[in-house]
Amino acid sequence: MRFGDVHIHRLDHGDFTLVDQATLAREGRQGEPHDQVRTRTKVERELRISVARSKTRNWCFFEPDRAARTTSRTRCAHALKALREDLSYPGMGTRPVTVTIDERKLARLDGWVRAGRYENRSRAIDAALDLLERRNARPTLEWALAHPLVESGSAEWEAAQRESAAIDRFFDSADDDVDAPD
Amino acid sequence: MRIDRGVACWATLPSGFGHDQGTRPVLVLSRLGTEPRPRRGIVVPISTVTPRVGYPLSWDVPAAWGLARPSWALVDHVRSLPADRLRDPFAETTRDELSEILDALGELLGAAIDLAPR
Repeated sequence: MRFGDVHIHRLDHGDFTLVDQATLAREGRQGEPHDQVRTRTKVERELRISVARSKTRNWCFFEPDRAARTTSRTRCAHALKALREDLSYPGMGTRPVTVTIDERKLARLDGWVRAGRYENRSRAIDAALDLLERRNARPTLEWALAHPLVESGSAEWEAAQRESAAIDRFFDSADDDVDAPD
Repeated sequence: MRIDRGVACWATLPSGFGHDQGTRPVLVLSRLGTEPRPRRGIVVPISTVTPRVGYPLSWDVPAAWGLARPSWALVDHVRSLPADRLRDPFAETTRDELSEILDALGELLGAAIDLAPR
């Protein structure tokens, strides 16, 4: 491994990170298993990324417009995923798996691929997993009700009650006006 | 901008019953761009009053919409309105934003996919 090379490590969730030589040496991780080794220059040129330092390691950041740097791990992971898909690093960050799918669902999946909505089955399933991930991050109804935005009985609570009633009156009036019998 | 799914516009009452209650901003959730045009549109009202409960019962309107005050789309107040009551579109959701709102509605209706233990 030459100075300036970077280790490419797959992360558990399928994205990957790049760790540079200096970080590996500082953390005593030179012998650590990795997925690929590329020169930093080549990585930066091909993937248009830069490597920046966080508390524990050097994360790579995607700069599509060479302007603002992303700073959060989540955004970085998303950017890397986009890189993998858009710039076609063959096989990097992906792994073939065998799954069992209901035949009817598989037929629908293939229908989406035939219709051109997705490039292939893998892309369709990948998109579905992204959707699940986004939805999983959102609050449930039970959680929201247990964590109200305003305190019960407060002035804001009363204001929300009044607003709710005003909205109902408004909508009722809209219907009255149109649907009232002649 | 045409009034259709994902567009924020004003709902009006021709006869009104108060000086400032003759119009309300709403977000259209149903498809209105088809021909023939549906007679009624499904909407959620937009309010500047802090709702009692957050998502999925309400949805924070992004600042990019340019509203003068912080606002919320009240998902649990979903209603249908005569389509001809809708006018003056002023903002449009992104695909992701609309997806978030529809997911909120799905959560309220129990139609959301049960994804994983939380």
